Amino acid sequence: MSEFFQRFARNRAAVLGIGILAVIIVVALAAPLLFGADPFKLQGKPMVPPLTGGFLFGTDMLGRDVAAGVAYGARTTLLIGVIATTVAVTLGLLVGGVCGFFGGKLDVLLMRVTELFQTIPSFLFAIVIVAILGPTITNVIVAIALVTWPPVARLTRGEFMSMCNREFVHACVCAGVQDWKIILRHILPNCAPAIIVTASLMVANAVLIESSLSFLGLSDPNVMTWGLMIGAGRVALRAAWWVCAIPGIAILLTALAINLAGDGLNDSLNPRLKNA
Amino acid sequence: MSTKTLLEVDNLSVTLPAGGDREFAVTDLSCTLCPNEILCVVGESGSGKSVFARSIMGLLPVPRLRVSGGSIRFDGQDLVNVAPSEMRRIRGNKISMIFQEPMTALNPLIRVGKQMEEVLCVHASMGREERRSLITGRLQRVGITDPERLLRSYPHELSGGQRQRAMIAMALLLEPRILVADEPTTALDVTTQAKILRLIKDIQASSHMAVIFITHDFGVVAELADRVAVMQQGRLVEIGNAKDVLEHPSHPYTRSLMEAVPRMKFRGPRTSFDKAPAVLSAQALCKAYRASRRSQPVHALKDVSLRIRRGEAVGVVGESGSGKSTLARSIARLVDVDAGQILLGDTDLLRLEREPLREIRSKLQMVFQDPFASLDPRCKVGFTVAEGLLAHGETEENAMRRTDELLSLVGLGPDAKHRFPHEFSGGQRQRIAIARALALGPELLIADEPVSALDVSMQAQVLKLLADIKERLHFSMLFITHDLRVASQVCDYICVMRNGEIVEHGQTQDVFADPRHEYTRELLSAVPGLAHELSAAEQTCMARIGIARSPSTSEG
Repeated sequence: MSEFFQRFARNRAAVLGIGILAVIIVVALAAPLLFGADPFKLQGKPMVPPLTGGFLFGTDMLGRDVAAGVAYGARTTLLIGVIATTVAVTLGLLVGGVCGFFGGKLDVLLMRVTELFQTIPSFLFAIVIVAILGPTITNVIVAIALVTWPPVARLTRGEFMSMCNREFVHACVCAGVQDWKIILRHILPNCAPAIIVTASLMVANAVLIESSLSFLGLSDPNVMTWGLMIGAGRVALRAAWWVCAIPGIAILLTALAINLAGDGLNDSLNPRLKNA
Repeated sequence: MSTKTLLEVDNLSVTLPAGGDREFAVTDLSCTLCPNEILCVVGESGSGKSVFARSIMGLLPVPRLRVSGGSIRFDGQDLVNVAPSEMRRIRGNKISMIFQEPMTALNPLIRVGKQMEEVLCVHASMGREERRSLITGRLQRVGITDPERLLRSYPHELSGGQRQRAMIAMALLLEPRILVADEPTTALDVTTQAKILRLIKDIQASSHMAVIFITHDFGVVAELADRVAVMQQGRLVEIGNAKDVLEHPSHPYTRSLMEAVPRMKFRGPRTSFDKAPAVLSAQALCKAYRASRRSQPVHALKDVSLRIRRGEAVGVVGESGSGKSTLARSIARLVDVDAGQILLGDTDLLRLEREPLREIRSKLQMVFQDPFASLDPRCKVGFTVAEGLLAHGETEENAMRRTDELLSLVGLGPDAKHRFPHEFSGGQRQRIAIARALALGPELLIADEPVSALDVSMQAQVLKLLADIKERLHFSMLFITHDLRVASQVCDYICVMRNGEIVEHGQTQDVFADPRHEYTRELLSAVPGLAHELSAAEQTCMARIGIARSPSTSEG
């Protein structure tokens, strides 16, 4: 385990990613302490530029503190990203695991369903789901999870299939070990690196989908998100660029940080790159 | 002297990266190579013999491995400090190399002909026609009957033997002064190996080139070598004329290596199991594989029947693709057969539902070929051994106690249970795998090439362990191997398989001393070094086979 941390620490980009992510998480957690309980509260004159009038990131067209919005937006965005990914990974693991381990007709059926999901353009599909179910946080999570699980299922299926042909799994079958024990104790831990890495990159993807949805107004209007801020600020882009730009940079940094950390995880969990 | 030696290696040292198991891959190695001789370099895995071969070719993975001292002089030119461009001129031209795995040594995306031509484009100025005719000539010389077809083929369309022949032809294109061969026959079947060895010897004799032949097999050495160099842990421990080294090895390591080489046993105590009850009987097993729905099925098992009696060790021998592994896996119910019957005692294994099958599996355990793949890298050894016991409802306390006993039984000691597989050597891992297989007290142990991934000294130890334990616990064994020498030592009864069929079977002594089937004779005559290790009586016996081997009409 310590070897894992050493290898991770040697990758400077990954450490940078983790650093940025840590800052974002701390700001998100400390938002009520830093900016008061309500990010929608009017704090001063509208359209104050950054670093003037006591506002770090300035104010928007209604006089709301952009910094408060960014901090509160980070809470929602990260929360949605993590929960949606968890749901998607769980679903993908179940479907992919069943397909990969048991194979046969069930595999064919489930894979066709997976392909059905993959053929629909994912962002359009997410829009349709939220439009039908209504714009609430839960529905956004459901929509993101529904459009992102198929790649996890395919990956898990592939990994399970190759694991099932490994001799140590054959040895367990010969020893009469129950299927669920083989899956939980032998196959899953050996597939874990690939799945963890994919999941970490999916969080970044979920953040982007969530921001895009709330930019289009398809998110809970009573919850502050980065996409919502950009969507609202877009009309005054030329007069108050910072209202759009700052949450935009926040999205960029978050997605970048998660990607860097994910790549770092990949390198340090992959034993073949051990000495590279 | 200096006019006669072609290659002079002087105090060569190659450093390993920090954190390796030793400082140097090769330490202070000195030797010479004369034109027109075959030098065999022998050693176990990790002895540095491949690193030595690669440093001659300038193919070390710099900077992880690099020559840190000494010199390699080829024709007066120092190969260690030569400029890369000059080395490129020598490589493939004056010194060429053939590798162990002909599949990975050829580019899978380029036709063989094109790859061979590349050598000529780099090193010689020839017209297209000239190149073609040279290549065709070389291919014919290595025994390829239709060179045109081979040149148009992609590597995957050729058999292992054909690929290796193509590699040899490619290495010989420019009539090199030295041919470096790094275990070129290890990945091949015995009959193919015998042909390739003969080919290398013939070509060497007719073209007077020098050959450095890396191998781990003393049988191959006996067939081929003029001189032998033995390496251990990166050091050259013994070098001398083949006859001297093979007959009077001076270094204890050489002696221990040679003693570990499995000997062909033609005669031995004949144990009859005719009266013992059958533990397993398989009848008319059939299994066909199809690459796709339209392609011709490949028959891995064609109507195979087999009986194993209590306490008996039945060997299945054959070359790769003969279906012997499929047979083992079918009996272990890892592969579903298309038709047939497998009776374990009175129970038909093929008719069992999931749960009863899971329960009966304890009577039938398997040891796999590759001890690196057959143990879960993420589970501690103790858990791996105990897992089967726990799955069959044993209490944790009993399972752990039994695990301690088993680990002691296979000679590792109970402390091993707290460690992970990667902390053990190949031989030790195979012991763990055997402990796991014995945990449930099986009636039948299926061993699928259990020693072919191990070095000879490990091989001997593991075989001895298996024999000891079998003596003590009285289980039956189905032993799959491609190595007739191993089979002759372990098995009471032999089945020879080819193309999914058992072509000959009988008591081990009968089959090997008086093979009836053409294919068995072919396999026997291909065993490397056999002629060198036989007693007079066995020589006569071989002679009989030899006579029968010449174009015979009497098929057994």
